[in-house]
Amino acid sequence: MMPFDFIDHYLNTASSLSGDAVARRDAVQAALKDGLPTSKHENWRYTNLKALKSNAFALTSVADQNEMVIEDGLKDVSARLVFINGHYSPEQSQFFDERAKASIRISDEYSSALAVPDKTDVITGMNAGLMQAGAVINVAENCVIDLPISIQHISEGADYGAQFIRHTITLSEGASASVIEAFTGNDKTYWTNAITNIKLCDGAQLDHVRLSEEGVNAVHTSKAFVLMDAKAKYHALTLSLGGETTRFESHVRIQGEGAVATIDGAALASLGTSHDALTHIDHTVPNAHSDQVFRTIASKRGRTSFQGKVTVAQNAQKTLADQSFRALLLDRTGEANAKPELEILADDVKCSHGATVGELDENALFYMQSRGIDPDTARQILVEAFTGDALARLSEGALKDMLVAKTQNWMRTHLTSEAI
Amino acid sequence: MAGTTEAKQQIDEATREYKYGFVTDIESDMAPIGLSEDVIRFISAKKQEPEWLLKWRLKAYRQWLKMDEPNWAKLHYPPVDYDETYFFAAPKSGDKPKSLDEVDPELLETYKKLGIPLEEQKVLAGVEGARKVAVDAVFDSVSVATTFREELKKAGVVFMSISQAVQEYPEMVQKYMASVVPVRDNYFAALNCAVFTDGTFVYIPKGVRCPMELSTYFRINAENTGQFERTLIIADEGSYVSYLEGCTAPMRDENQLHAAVVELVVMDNAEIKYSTVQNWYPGDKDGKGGIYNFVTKRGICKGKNSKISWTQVETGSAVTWKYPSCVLAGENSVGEFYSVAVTNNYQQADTGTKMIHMGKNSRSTIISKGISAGKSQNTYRGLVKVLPSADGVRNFTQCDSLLVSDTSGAHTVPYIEIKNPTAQIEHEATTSKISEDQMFYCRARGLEEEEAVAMIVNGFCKDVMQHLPMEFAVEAQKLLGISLEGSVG
Repeated sequence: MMPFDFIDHYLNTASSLSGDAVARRDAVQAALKDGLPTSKHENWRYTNLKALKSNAFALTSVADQNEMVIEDGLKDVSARLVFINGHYSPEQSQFFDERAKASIRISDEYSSALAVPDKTDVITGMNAGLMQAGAVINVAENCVIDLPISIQHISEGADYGAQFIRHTITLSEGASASVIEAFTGNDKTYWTNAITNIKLCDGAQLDHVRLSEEGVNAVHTSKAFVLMDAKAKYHALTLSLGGETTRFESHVRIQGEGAVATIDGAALASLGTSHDALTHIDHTVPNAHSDQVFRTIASKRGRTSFQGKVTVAQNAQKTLADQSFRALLLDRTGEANAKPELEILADDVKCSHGATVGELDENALFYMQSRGIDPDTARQILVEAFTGDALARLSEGALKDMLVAKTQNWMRTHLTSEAI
Repeated sequence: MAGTTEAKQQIDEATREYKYGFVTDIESDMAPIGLSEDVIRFISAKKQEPEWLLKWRLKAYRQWLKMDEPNWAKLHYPPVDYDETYFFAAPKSGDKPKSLDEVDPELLETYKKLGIPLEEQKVLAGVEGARKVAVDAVFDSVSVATTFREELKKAGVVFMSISQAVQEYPEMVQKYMASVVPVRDNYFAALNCAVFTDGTFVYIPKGVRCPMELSTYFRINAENTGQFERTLIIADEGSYVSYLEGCTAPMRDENQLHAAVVELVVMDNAEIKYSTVQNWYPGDKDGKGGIYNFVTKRGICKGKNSKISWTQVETGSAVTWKYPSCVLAGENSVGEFYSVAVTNNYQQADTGTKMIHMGKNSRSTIISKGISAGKSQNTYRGLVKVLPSADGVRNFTQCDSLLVSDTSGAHTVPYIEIKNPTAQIEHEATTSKISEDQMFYCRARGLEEEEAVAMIVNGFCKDVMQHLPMEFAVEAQKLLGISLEGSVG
C-alpha cells in the first residue's frame, strides 16, 4: 500500500489546478486507491515504477524561456506547438498553415473522457485528475493538412518535476493529418504522463508519431487511445530513444468496417534504460485489418519489453490481424521480454503473431568485414536494417528522414565497440 | 461453410457422447467430508504413513490455508467448496491383493469396460514387436493391482504406488518429493501435498532402458471425491523411460476436483518421455458437471544431455488448468512439449508450458495445437525464460489454433523473457478456421467433405500426434474422432 501522504500529495496538487477541483480530486482518489501498479499487475509485468513510488513528483512552473531554442529537426511543419513543463508556451509555438491554425486550440480544462475505456489504470486516472494542458485538434470534413503538426514537450524543471499532458485529436469524415509528439528534457528525475485521445471518423487518415528522447533519469508513460470508424486509417509509430523508463501504450478500438490500423514501434535501450511498448487492438466489427511491427534493441544493461494484445469479437469475421516482434540482444547484460497475446472469439479470421529474440548474425558481420567494412560500421548497418522494418511503413519525407537520423545517431553513440 | 459444420460434427462426436460414463458400485471407505487437520491425520493413519510424512502434510496444509486460489487464468467456474468435498475414498478391501485373482471382480469389470489392458500382455493387432505395457491401476486413490512387477524387478526398475514407496524407499521419496514442485509453489500443489492419497513412484536405475512402457490409468469414481494423485519419476544417469498416463471418469452431475502433482527428475544423459491422454468427463452439453482439472506437472533436467518430453492430448474435463514444464538446468538438456487440446460445449482449457533455461546450450521445442468448438474457450499460456547464465539456448515455439465454431474462443498468451544475448528464440502463432482453399483442393481430389475435414484436422494435429506412443496414438485419434493418422500421407 501507498503511504497516506502519497495520495495526499497528489490530491493537493489536483486542488491547485484549474477546472473542476472536486472532479480532479475524485479522479486522483479513485486512481490511487490501490496504489501504483507493481510487476504483479499483468500489464505492468515488465515496467518498474520504483521512481514514482519513492518520490513525490510535483508540478513545476514555466521555465525561463529566454535562452531556449526549440529544435524539432523539421523544417516544414504546418504548426509547431510547444509545451514546457506541461504548460503551453504561446511564445514558442508557431502556426504556418491556416487550416492547421483553424483546427487547433489549447485547453487546460479537466476531462476524464477517453476514446477507448481504460478504467482500471492508475496512470490514466492520475492524468485525468492532474492534467495541465493539451492541444485540441479538430480537423474538419475532407480537410487535408499535408505537413505534420509538431508537438514538442520539453521538461526543464528541477528534480522530481512532473508534467501531465492530454491531447485530443478528432478527424472528421475524410480528413487527413499527421501529428508528431516529441518529448525531450534535462538530466533531472522527472515524470512525463501523456495521453492522446484520438477519434477518426469514416475515411479519416492519421499518421501519428511519438518520439521519446527524454532525459536519462526520466520516467515517461504515454498512452494513445484511438477510436476508428469505417475505412479510417491509423498509422502509429513509437520510437523510444531516451528516458530511464519509457512506456508507450496504444489502445485501438476498431468500430467501423474496412478500417486499417498499423501500429509500429522501435525501441533502443542501453545503459540502464528500460523501454516498454504495450498495444491492444480491439476488433469489434468485421472486415478490418490490423498489423504491428515492433523491433527492439537491448545493448549494455538495456531492457526492452513488448506486450501486444489483439482481441477479436465474436462478430468480427474476416478480421486480418498480424503482429511481428523481434528483439536483438547485443550484450550479456541486455534483456528482452515479449508477450504477444491473441484473444479470438470469431472463427473466420486470420490472425498471427511471430516473435524472435536473438543476437546479431555472426555470419553477416563476418561477411561485411571480409568486404572491408569495419566492425562498428558493419554492426550499425545491420542494426539499422533491423530497426528499419519498424520505420518502413512511415511515408517518405522529412519526418521519416529525421527519425532515421535520430536512430542512426543513437547507434553511433551506443553501439561502437567502446560503448558495448 | 459446409466444411465447418462437418468438422464441428466430428468434434461433437469426439467429445459429446461420453461413452465411458458409468458408476461402479463399490463401497468407499471415506474420510469425513471437508478438510481439516483431522482429515489429514485420518488419511495419513489410513495409509499407515510414517511420522515425517504426516508432519509434512500438516505443514503443507497450514501453508495452503494462507494461500489464494489463482485467478489469472482465462477460466470461469463456480468456486470449489472444499468443505463439501471428500478428500479420501479407498475401495473397500482388507489387505492388498496378491494377484489379479484377488482383485474385486467388479473393479476388473470396470477396467474391461474401459478397455484397460490389465490382464496379461496387450498386443496391438498387427503392430510389429508389440511392446508390453505395465499398468499400475489407480482406482479411487489406492493402487489395487500391479502387473509386470517381476519383469521390471529384473531390470531393476522400481514401479509402485507412492504409498508403497513411502514404506519401501522412504529416503528416496523424502529426497525428491517436492524437490521439483515446492510445497508452496501454488495453491493446488500445496493442497495436493496436504491430502494426496496415492499415485505412482518410478525409479529407473543407472544405464537402464526401461524394458516396457509404464502406464497408469487414473479413474475418478466415488461421488464428491477429489483426486489428489502424486507422481514422482526419477531417471538416473543414462536411463530411459516412457510413461503413459490416461484417464477416464464416470458421468457425474457435480463438479469433481482433481489436483494432481507430477514431478520428474532426470540425471545425466537420461530421458523421460511422459505422454498423457486426458478424457475426463467434460460436463454435458449445457456445461453442467464435469471434472475440474488443476494439475501441476514439472520436470527438472538436472544432468548433462538430459531430456524431458511432454506429450498431451487433452479432450476432457470441464476446466483444465495445466502447464507441464521443464526446468532445463543441465548443459545440453532438452525440453519438449507437444500438445493437442480440444474443447467443445462449455469446456474451458488454459494450458501450455514453461521452459526455464538455466543450462548452457539447452534447447526446447513447443508445439501446441488448440481446436475450439461449441461455446468453449481454449487458451495457450506459455513461458520461455532464458537466464543470464544460459549461453547458446535455442527455442522454437509454434502454437496454432483452429476455430470450428463462431461461438468459441481461441487465445494465445505466450511470455518470452530473455536475459542472454546468445539465445535464439522463435515464436509463432496463428489462428484460423479450415481454409476454403484446402477444402476445395481435397474435394477436387474426390474426397468426401467429412474425409477432407478429417484429413485437414489430422494434418493440423500431426506434429503432436506423431510423438505419442503407438498404444496412445490409437486412443487419441479415437478421441479426436479422426481415424486417419498414419494412413493418410
